[in-house]
Amino acid sequence: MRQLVVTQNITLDGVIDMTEDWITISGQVDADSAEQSAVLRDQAAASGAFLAGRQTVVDMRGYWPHVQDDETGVTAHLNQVDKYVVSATMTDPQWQHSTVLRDLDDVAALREGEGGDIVVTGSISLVHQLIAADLVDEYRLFFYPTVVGHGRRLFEGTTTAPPLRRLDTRAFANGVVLSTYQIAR
Amino acid sequence: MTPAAGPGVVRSGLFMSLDGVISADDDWQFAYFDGELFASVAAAWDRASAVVMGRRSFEGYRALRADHPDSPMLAFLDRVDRYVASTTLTDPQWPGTTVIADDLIAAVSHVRDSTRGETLVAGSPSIVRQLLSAGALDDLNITILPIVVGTGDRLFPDHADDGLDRLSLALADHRVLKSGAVQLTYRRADE
Repeated sequence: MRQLVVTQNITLDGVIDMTEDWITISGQVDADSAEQSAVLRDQAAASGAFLAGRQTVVDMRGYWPHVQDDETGVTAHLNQVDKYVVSATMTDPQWQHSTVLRDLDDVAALREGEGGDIVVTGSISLVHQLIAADLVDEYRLFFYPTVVGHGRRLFEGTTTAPPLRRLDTRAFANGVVLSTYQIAR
Repeated sequence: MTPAAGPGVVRSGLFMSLDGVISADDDWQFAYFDGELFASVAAAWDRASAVVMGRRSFEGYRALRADHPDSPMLAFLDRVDRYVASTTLTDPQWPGTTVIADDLIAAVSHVRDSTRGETLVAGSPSIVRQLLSAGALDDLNITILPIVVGTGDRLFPDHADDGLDRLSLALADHRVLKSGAVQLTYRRADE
């Protein structure tokens, strides 16, 4: 069985909705992000699949494949990794190495198979469904030194999750703290 | 950056779930109170000479004093100067306790400047929020516990409209405990 990993940038108040552009609130985060980028590259290299909701894929395919000489490695990773988009309506994902999954049963089947970690990021609605269906195996949370005040959260009110075990925590020079948690099954 | 320490420092000490909840009806926090976590709490008490709290927290401790007078928390509370923020409490019924009836920010700043050690805000999230918003909290210390509890009061509610939005913080310290708790200390970065 594969591990389904939820990777999110998250504020101290638990918000993962980035439409408020809170990444830029702390000037320190942007100024010194080399360490954090290196960890993201390592995590991408170790992953086996990228899973996302329809909107996140539409947003990402309109941006990343068009970045020239991307030094972060994100473009190269996203272009080559096996991508799975969860959508009841999409027919052509319009991105190489992409497969449409119709529903959570398809996601569960993918997770039951063999291969590397299935990483989902952004995709707030999908992540909420994955949590509710108990399909998440691990959380990798990048806590930003920021309180944004409002926005959609990783864990909305009344959401519960099985007991968690902290795997690792590290603080980057830019003030972001990465803490990873595994569902204790 | 290391956390501010010593006299002249106002510090919070809050326990928060991964979903941002700081208080709930059941006692989900206690499962993580092992020797290591208790030692870190005791170290914060040792540095403090004054404690500030809200009325509800104070009444909880006063009940503890009546029911469990040998609690280690009381050894700490009895040693320090106690300040209770309340507009309704007149007689705290605990010698050495001062009621802060108005202007919390000015009162806490006065405590900070006149006490010999640190000023600790015990629990009391609404006081932490007010001090943080006013720039009167030096160290925002939060212990994040590896649990999702679902319901309960959050430290940072949505649209709270009290100045705590788009707040830029700087990470001053972090510490990892065996129980899975992560202790984070932040300072405001926008001042």
